[in-house]
Amino acid sequence: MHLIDGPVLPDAISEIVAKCGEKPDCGAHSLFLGQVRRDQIDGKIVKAIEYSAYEEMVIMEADKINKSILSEFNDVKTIEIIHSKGPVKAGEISLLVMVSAGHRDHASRACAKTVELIKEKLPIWKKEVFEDDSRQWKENE
Amino acid sequence: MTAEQVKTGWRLINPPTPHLGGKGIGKMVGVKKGKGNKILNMEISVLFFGVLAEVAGTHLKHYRSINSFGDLKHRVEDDFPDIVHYNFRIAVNNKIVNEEPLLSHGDEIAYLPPFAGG
Repeated sequence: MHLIDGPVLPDAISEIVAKCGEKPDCGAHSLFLGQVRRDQIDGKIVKAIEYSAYEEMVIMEADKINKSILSEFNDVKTIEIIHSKGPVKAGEISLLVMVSAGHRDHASRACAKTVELIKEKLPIWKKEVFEDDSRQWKENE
Repeated sequence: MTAEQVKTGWRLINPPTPHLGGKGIGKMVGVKKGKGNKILNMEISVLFFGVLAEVAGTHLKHYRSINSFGDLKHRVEDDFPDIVHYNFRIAVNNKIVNEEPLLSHGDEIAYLPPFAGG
């Protein structure tokens, strides 16, 4: 689990993808990218999200997620998680999850489960920043 | 506590429990028994996150002379009365607790509003 300042940039994504070849026992990699959506709320347009986190606890909880996924899906070999902190503009990536497994079934199901657990368990908060620079805390649905 | 709060698990420790009161809670969970209810006088760090950091106007506050979690909760609510209007959970040393915890000197308490990662 990595908490990084600002968005997950294309270079970081391609670096993760490039490392796929280092896992010869894997036949499937499921990649999830979470993007800041340009929502319109009460006539105001979201231009960015500011993330904040309880970093120590994020790392501990991410480790628990990792262990729980590995025990539930025995074909999964590795789980990579990158999450942003600080400001991320609309259209940029704020979350990357890549699950590598022997076969596609566990790769895709474990990836979806990991994303759900991230939203439920990681102490991360987000504040929407609108184009008029007003701000509003947002909770997960 | 609303049905929704019960369902989601948020605000299990809030709201305040006036029927117990700080001293009562201290006797129950925070103060070691024997030899005349020893006073613990703990130093506790309290972290505030998300909207609660704005409510408190700070990310971190140190408290001294704390004898129990109930004692700490009342001190925090005295300092930041608006905090009782928000949903939150409590973590002790990075671990969420669902009951009033026994505190130790040097513990780090965090006030955590509902998570919003991803």
